[in-house]
Amino acid sequence: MWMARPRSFEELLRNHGDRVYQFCSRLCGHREDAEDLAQEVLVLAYQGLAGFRGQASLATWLYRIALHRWQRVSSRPVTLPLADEDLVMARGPDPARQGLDRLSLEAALADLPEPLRLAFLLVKAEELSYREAALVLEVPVGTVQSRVHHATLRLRQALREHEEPQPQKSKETCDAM
Amino acid sequence: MRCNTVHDLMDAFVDGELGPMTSLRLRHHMASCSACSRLLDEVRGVSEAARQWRRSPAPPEWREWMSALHPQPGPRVVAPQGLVPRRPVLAVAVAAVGVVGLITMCWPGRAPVSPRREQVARSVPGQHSTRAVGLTPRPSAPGSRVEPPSRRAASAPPPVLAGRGRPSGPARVVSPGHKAPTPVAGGASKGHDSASDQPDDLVALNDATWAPESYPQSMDASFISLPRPVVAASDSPEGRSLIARVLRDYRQDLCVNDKRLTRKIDLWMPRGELQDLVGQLQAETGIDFSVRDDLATLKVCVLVRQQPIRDIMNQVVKLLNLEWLREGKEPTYRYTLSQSLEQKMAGMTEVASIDAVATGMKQVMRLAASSKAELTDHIRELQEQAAHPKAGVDLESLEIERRLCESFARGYQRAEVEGFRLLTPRQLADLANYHQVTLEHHPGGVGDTLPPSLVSMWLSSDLGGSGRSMVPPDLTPDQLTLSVSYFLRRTLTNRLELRSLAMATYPPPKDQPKPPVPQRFPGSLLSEGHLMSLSPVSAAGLRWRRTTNLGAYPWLAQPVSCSPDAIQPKSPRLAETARTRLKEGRVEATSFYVELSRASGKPVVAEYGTRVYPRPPFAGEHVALRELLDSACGAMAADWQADGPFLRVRRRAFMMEQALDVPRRVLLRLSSSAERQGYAGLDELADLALVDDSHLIPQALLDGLEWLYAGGDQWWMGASRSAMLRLYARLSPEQRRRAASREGLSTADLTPEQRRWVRDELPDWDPISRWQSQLAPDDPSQLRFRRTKSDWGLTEEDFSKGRFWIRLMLPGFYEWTDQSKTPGQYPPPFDPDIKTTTRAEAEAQMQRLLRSRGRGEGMIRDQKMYVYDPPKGPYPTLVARLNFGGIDLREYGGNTSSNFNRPLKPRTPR
Repeated sequence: MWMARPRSFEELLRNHGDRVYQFCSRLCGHREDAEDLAQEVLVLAYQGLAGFRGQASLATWLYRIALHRWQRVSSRPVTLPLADEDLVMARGPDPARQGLDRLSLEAALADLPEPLRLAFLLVKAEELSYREAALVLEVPVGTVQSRVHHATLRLRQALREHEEPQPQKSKETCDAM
Repeated sequence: MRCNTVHDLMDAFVDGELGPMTSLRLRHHMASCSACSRLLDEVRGVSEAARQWRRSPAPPEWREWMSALHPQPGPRVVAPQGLVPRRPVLAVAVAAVGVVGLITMCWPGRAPVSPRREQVARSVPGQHSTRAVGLTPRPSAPGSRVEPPSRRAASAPPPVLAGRGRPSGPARVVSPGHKAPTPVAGGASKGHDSASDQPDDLVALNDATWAPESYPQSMDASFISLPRPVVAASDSPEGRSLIARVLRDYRQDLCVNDKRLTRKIDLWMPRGELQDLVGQLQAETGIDFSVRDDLATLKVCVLVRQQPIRDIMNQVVKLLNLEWLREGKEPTYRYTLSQSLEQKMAGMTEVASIDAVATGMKQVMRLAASSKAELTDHIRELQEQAAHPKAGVDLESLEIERRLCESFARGYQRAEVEGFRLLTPRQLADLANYHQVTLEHHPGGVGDTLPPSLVSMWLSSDLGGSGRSMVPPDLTPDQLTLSVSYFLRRTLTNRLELRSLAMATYPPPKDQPKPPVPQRFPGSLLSEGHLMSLSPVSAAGLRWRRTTNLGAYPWLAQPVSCSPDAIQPKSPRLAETARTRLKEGRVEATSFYVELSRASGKPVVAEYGTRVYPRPPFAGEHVALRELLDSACGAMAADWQADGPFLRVRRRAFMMEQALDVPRRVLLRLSSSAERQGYAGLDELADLALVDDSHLIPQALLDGLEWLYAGGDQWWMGASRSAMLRLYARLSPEQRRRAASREGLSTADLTPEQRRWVRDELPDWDPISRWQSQLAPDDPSQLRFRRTKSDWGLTEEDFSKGRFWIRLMLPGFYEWTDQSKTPGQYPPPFDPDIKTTTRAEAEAQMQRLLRSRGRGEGMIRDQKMYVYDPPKGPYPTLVARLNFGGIDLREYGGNTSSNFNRPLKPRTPR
């Protein structure tokens, strides 16, 4: 469904502020940088709203702005150390998923190549469809699918090693057709 | 499906990016493969962890800071690619540094910042990080001195349907977008509406076919529809008044003329999807347009200059058989392109394929009746025509006709042609609507209608997959009974082809052990006692009727010159091939449409596929526009239509594609529901119940025959056989909600149409209609059965006191039921509010209820109250009850039962 064009900055902030901030936080890895980037994205978007052609959803457009701004300010993705409050939170059990703690996911994500990491973040964390992610990344849908697949493979492998540092098991097979 | 394939598709499956059929196949595989099931858990775990990672709302202090900003919308354009031109950014950034620095220097205090922030702040004095906009500074931590302006309070009162006046007392109004009814307070407005005394308003409102009495003369708005209001109200003067008011408002809303749609615009989109189209419309007009997800990728070509918006909207929905759904309030209406399931299915009849098939088969039947010598002569003529083709001759049709004559000359396919001649008009309509019809027990039997060579081949070989060992050795042709099914198929060359499936049945051998059924096809057509052969009957050269009145469009006769560009392959090798082998060149439909619009000066709205065509039919010098359209549309197997100033073009296959999309769409809903809640809900099953099984079978044959019949679940095939579910499917949303509640739906609230449906359909329910045996008059040794139908003597009084319940019993839950007969009260089959995971708890609940009612243990001993076990397997069980006092009909998991407390009065058999 197509999002309506916001009529004021307050409306833009109300409807998209959390989402933009969350994405920036995932991109930057640092709260204050995320706040800066999110502010920049929202203001730029509002100032350039007249140029929004409506060919994609507004959220997708905001993601693209965020991605481009982030790529401009950092030539390569830098994974910064976690803030103190994140470390404190990461020590407790994660209610969402037992066996996967945030710290290991953080480290595993940091090891991913940038294209895989971005595709994975957009699809899995931001819950965009492959088509929307392809619009943001400006690559074909098949490429997004492939990148997400390989990112998941690597993350599974990394998380498994993190949990069970034993030697790798033999490949599982089954007879079902 | 193999594990490796499943692994590759796992991510797309978890992300919901697979098609419904592939998803179901994957789910089916994982049900039997523990390794893949574990892998699915892992992938889901990773996805869930990623979803939860850094999932936190923006900090309140940041929001406060942002709320205090008041940036002005700049005139510059932020392009999606490259985003911001560099120079303006630099200019703004430099200005921002100055302004922010100045303000920061004058700032009375500064909150402590983190070391990293300090580092950044040192690099750009007085400014944080890379912020590049000249705005007021913000504190970097909570507790700063910034006093943000109070944020504007969110003013979003829930939309109230028919809110042009206070609804009355006990009535409740439910707007279409709201799940829960919203109580509305306020006193009754007496004498508000003269229509308040009409008792059938609620019935009429739920009944459906709405159309305004008259549209404004200046505008045909029939392509715009409004979501039908859903109203629940008590049966009181206030409630009736409210309903009447809702009705009046709804009628008024239908007649509203949105003046924004009269503006003329340019829209030039040679190729694109519907989502691109609504995006462009929105960008051009500022009106809120959208499209439903399942239609977003339909391909359209819109080439329009200076035409009113509403005319463009109208042409698009006419082209694709859609509708614009209008929501919201004047003057900010929103428009959404949508298409109901019925509209998709209606496309089948629009093709008018029945006329074409009947016309084509006349020719085939004439050939089938010819002698062998006549056929041989005709074959020779066809060969000569093919060797020296004249202009406009379809070589493919000639070839198909020649093969058909050869087949007839050898004695084949006469049975199928003969059978087609015996089809009734009703069966022909079914063939057109559902693309399949079966003629059971061909009157001619086998001996007279099938060629002996085919019969002997059946009896002596493994034709049809049954295997030689399964055919009894002493079987003779006269023991075979023939039945023929007909299928309409669209071929790769966009022909409509009629195919037949002949099946011979023989009696099972009595003195021989039952042969084993091949494991690969349990329950399939290819089972014991059947032989079959699939062969084309032909419908070569079928043509559709043209409905355009050419006399009304003199401009169709004007000469035009059209020269669409041929495709130029990018690859040098393909370009060389195209130059040497395809000298005539190839064109895309969209290039033709662009050239057509230029040459004719008319706006073009068209639908297109990705196929490319030989160039000659699309090009011409000083030919009449009509001839050019005929020639091009003939090559594309498309139809063209002139409508006002517009030209519309649509492939004939499009509507069939849409209709064939119905099972996919239904499966998509089922899959998403199963993914969301673990099973298909009542509403999804109701969708399925409206689609006839015969409509689903051809698609199943195309897409998933092996999956479907090789042990796959067939639960979705049987939905339309549940009378209760079909009744539920015909209820309005509010009626459905009541039927699924503990109180149930009073049959007094059924509309006249729904009552008629109950009268007409439920007699087919097994216990009601009765089978009567009688001797055949022509052969007294044969006992025949005749089915007598009755409407059970149902009266209007019965409908006034009946009640209907329906719900799904979920796996894993024990439920108990109270079947005691209390005069005037009919308990629901199960109490939806009570379910437990243990039998002991269910029995304890029963005991507590009995004690509270002062009843004894005899209720349990007499089986008036008892505990049901949970449904077996992963799917829920449908439980329904329709009670008319003396007549009590129940359905439990596909089994039906009934009780009668009064004598039936069978009416005249129908």
